[in-house]
Amino acid sequence: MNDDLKRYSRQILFAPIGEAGQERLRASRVLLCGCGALGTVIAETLTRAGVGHLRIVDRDFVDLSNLQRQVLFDELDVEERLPKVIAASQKLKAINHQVTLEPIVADIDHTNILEFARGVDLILDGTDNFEIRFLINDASLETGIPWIYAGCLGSHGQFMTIFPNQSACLRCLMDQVPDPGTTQTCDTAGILGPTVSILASFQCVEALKILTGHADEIEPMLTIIDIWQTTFRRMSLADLRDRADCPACQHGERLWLSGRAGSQTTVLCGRNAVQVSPSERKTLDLDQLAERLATAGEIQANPFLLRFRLTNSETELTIFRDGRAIVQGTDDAAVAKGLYARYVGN
Amino acid sequence: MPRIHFTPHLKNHLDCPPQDVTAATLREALEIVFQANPRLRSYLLDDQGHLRKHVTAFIDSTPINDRVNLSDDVSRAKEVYLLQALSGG
Repeated sequence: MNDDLKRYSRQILFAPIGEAGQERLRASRVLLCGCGALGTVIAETLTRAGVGHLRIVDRDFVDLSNLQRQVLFDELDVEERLPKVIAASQKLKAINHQVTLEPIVADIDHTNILEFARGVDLILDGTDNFEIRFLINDASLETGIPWIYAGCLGSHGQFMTIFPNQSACLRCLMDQVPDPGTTQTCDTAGILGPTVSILASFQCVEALKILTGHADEIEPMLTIIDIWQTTFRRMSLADLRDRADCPACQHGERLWLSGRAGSQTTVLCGRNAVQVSPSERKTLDLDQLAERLATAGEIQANPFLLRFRLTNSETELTIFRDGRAIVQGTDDAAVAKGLYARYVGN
Repeated sequence: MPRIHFTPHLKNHLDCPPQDVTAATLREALEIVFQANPRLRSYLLDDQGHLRKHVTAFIDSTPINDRVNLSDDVSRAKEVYLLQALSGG
């Protein structure tokens, strides 16, 4: 065993992986969408396992409420208001320098997801909302890249691995994003750290199978767990693709990838916050914006973002260089859009 | 006689323990459940009585065929499982 592989010796001893599997893993490239609860566990696990190239994309910054379950962040990251991918990559570099890390501070949307997916072998879902999962599903079908979905809430979670145009896709299972107000969120149901860790670990096992040449051992199943009740169910999706007459994988519809579905505002799960995205990408001059906003409230800035708290208000805008803003203190998309227009402009 | 199970996070917010029902179709089975728990209806079905887009039903671990009329046969099933998609992560 050469020196580069020694750190993986215990993993190599696991027969299905072996040295050949480890080499395949080292040659592999992964896109991780989202670097929150699921994402940080996935990023750490795959970095320790020795994936070759890890591209991590996330739009958000580290918040105190993240620390309970987002395992790569600490109090200093909160103090510095670092973007999550920047804080995460600093930790990941110290864990395994052999992994090529590509942190990208960006909001994944229909205009950029194919670029982020370019050249990767696998897409992992570390996101926290349906819209982006349907977008990933479209991108997967379009590119032929497999992806691994997981969702969790409270003490329960679900995951499935999707091989585009071979197995059932997310739209075979659910045709549309739920209507507003029809599903529980982290605000109402909360989330346990171990729920996330277990779900993300299952995603990583599926990823290891794919990336080490054992994709054929993945069964077409939706797995549902509840860690509080200690239950584990597996639902067969074996012939769902053939039966579902899915508009996406049978008829080529790409509602989210074409931009026909999806919104410019996203309510952030559990944060009393809304993200507002400009209709077109722009590059903001944050210094200039800071000067402009200085008379209207308190400003805190770093090279990646600007934080603006309105005078005598609990409302706060975190404005990113690409024009996005996270409006904290409301879960009303219209209010958030109004504040954005007022302080950032259209 | 199938036993109707609900996704765990529904159980956290509505009183919907597993329930044994005698029914020929999924719709008949659900109507029996709704009699005891009317609030469940709007969680699972839309205004037209179709299964909501983000809800999936499995009969003995296999997805149902008819999401509109809910005509799938449950008379010999052991379990019906109603699942709602989860957004968190």
